[in-house]
Amino acid sequence: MKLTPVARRATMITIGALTLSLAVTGCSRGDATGGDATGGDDTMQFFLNMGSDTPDYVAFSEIVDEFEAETGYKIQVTAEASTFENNMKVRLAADNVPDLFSTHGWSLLRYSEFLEPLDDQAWSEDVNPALDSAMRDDEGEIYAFPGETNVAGILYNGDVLESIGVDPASLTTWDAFNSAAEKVVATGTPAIFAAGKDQGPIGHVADHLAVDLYDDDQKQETIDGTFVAEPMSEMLTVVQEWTDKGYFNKDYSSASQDDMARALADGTTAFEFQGTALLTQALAYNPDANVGFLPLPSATGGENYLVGGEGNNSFGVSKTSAHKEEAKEFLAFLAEPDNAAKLAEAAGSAPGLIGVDVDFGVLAPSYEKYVTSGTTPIAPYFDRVYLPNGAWDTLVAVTDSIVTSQSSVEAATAQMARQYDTLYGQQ
Amino acid sequence: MSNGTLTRTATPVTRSTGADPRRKRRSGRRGASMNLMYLPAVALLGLFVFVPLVQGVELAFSNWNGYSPDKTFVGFANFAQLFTDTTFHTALLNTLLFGFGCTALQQILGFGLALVLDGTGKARSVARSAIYLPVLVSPVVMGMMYYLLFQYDRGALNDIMIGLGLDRVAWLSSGTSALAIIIIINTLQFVGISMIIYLAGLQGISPEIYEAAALDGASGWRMVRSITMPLLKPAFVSSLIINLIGGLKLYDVIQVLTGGGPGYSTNSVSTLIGRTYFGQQAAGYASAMGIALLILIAIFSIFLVRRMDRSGKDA
Repeated sequence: MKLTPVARRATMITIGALTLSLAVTGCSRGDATGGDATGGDDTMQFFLNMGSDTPDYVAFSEIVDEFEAETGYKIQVTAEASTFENNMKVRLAADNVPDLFSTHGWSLLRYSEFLEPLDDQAWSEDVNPALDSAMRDDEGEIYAFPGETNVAGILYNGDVLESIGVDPASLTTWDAFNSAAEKVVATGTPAIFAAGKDQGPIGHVADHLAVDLYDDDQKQETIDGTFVAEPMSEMLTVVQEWTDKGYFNKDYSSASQDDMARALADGTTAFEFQGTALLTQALAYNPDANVGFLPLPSATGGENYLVGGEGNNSFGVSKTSAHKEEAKEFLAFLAEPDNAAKLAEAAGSAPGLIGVDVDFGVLAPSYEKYVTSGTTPIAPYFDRVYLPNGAWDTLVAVTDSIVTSQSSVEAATAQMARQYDTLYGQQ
Repeated sequence: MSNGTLTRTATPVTRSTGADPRRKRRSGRRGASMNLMYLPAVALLGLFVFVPLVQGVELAFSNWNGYSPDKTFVGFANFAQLFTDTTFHTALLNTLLFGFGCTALQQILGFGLALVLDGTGKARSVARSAIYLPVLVSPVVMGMMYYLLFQYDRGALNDIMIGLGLDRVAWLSSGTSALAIIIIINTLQFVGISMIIYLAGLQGISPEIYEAAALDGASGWRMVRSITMPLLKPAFVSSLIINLIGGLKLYDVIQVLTGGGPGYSTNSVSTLIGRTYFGQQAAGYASAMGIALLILIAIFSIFLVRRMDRSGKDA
């Protein structure tokens, strides 16, 4: 059929307009899972930092379902693990903030300017005091509900230690730790398992050691804008020594965090430096795994310590949310003892609120001895409190470069110093 | 024979220019409406290319952290940092390695495959399709497949080595071996593009030229060197440009296979931009890196396109 020139022109214009409008709909600010990301309709958008195949997610989904049934509110949950942080930053930059989102340890230092203060909530009085330094600002304001008190230390597989005749409770000094590690390596098993591919776990080694090596004056200097290099060099030297002695797993560069959980579960490593949530993942792979955790020995004559603070499962309300009251109601629902306990147990962590009884399962002996008893101090995560926002990535990279022999201690320390200055200048 | 009277014969008057004004007006209206057809493409280009480019340049002069509402102008500080940042230098060297290394291998292999697979026949046709197939696979999928191959624990290659009684190898634990693996993956994935370009070029060469050369006593490699390769110069430049730009922009395979590690040793500028923007929350500095990469690719592209124009004229 031959079109007239006018009809041909009209057809081309229509096709062009349709093409353009199709392309522009791709720019829609709607959430990928449907609905308005700012919660403009009846559904609250909840952006979660957790894998959809984790025990946390299962527990969380059950709690959400109960809340929806009780209140009639609707919550659309989007769970992302490895890409959560990057996507969250993109959404903040685009002013496309979900009604509720995980603050994964950064409610105060990164996200507070975007979050609704929650100090007027009834549960805020019951927040574990151990979290105050990590979650409350100078005025005592809190910006997220703590679903857990994250605890980290030396995770261990008891069967591996038993096979070399070592009692985990005896590992109260670095000499004892190194001696045990040597024995493990002699059996052909890596003493310390870390995941280089995920660009995060090796940073925990650095974090856990650094918080002890910096004294109070040096920590204050670091907060005030002066990078103190000596303790950083000391920390990297320890990592260098462990590398030289062959403590780390051979497949470090290609290993993932999932491999870390499997290694603990299968007894193919002795130690890992990570939060206790990894033990829950290991137990998911092997419920009979003989695993636990220990405090880190102090290298400076202080008390043996754990590291901890705001955990991954902490949740804040966007201050631009159209569903603030409903979102706060949901957080209050999470704060009910049964739900708070459920969340903490799924995460394998201590609860974020006092007065919540958690069944730690096979981890009970470690928790009762070191956490619940209150006898072991819990130091904050070094990078979150003492380094500028964004320095974590460099801490991971410089520590990684030591383990992979890509850099010397001097060069790695210098790189950390450079990045510290750059990031501090941004603040 | 004239009868003494002048006879005027009317001759038709013809105008020397034949343009009918009505036709000219219709043609002008058609031209204007055809220009309107470009608008959607121009709008899309503007929205998705030029606007982000301008915003990226603006960001490069700030110390924005990537998510805060505040941005502070810092002048040329980010660009100055490029000259002293050894991590960026490593990434830049790797980028050039990926760009030129992969391209060189793709030209050699692509040309060789084109020579072997030029012609008719089902076997040749199947082989060409098989070699081109990886081009259609997403680089992310490609990276994942090779990660499962080279993984230390449970990787297919190490499982084969164990089966043969050999020790496992940590293929991705060394910067050198990881770089080599990335180059091999990228080369194998996109060698099909070079092959197709050379095949098209080969089919444009008249068989009579080869017949004439054969009459003069040329054969085999002499024919390839003296006839085929010179006549394939335009194809060579096209293939070079396409593969070089792809290699210089390499991101997906690196991100999936090594994440830029071990350390920073396998980062390209593209992966370093991502890490700097999100991981280090230095969006301004990352934008400066992006501008540097843009300039680098533009310089190579302009040089090669000019070369291609000259080759085309020579041909």
